[in-house]
Amino acid sequence: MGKPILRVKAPEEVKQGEIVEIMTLISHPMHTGLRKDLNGELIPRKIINEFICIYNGEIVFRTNMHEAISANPLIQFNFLAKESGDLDFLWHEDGGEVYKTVRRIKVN
Amino acid sequence: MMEGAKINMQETHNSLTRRAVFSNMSWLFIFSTNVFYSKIWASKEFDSNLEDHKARNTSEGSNIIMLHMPNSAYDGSRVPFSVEVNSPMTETNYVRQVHILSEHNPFPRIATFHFTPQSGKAFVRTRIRLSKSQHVIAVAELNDGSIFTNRKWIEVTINGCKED
Repeated sequence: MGKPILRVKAPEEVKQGEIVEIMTLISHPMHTGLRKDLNGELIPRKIINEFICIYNGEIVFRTNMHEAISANPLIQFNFLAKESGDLDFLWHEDGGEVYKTVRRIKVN
Repeated sequence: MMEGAKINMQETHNSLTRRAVFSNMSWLFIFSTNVFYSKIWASKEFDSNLEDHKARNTSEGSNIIMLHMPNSAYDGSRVPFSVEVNSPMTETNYVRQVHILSEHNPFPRIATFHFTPQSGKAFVRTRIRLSKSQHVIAVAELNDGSIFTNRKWIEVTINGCKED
């Protein structure tokens, strides 16, 4: 497995007080630990267990994910735009790996 | 010689009395249920809140929580799923957490969503795996500690937990 591809769909400019819809996607197999490979050996569990969205240093939305989230986990959520700033998206993988991407949002 | 061996056998059998076996089994049962529940309610904060408010505030909030899912899914490995909680999402009245649980999946917990007043709207969309036809349960915890639950039945044709 190569490096996961991170995708974020968020508007660049929004009005103040607007509820913004954000769609995120990470390409990840989300191995549950139940499936077997071609040799009949169990593939160990490796999933994205946490997703965090931080806006100007404050957590806006957080989710704990378990085995029952599909491969390539898509998360769509909302957030209230108050002031311009950076939106940090963090995906925590089993084993401590963290994938991060940043989007700048301008609030008029 | 044979008799002696028989007597010894009986002695060993007697040492493991029926009562001892049952008491051991009951301990095992208690332990396993504890493990099961601790698996479901992993968040300690949520656990204590649930204990406090279980009797007072839990209710079937069908108009408060809405689960959007197809009634039947052919492939259980990617079922579109969204949950919405009716809440103004202000500093004084907002949804703190929404837990999504399954009845028959190998691992009962699906996800936990943590909202803040900054979320604006208590709505999340994702895709989930389901092993077979079952209820999907949503438990929402508001900032004042009140808890609402709702569930929805879904028919699943292909197990989504083992195949891809």
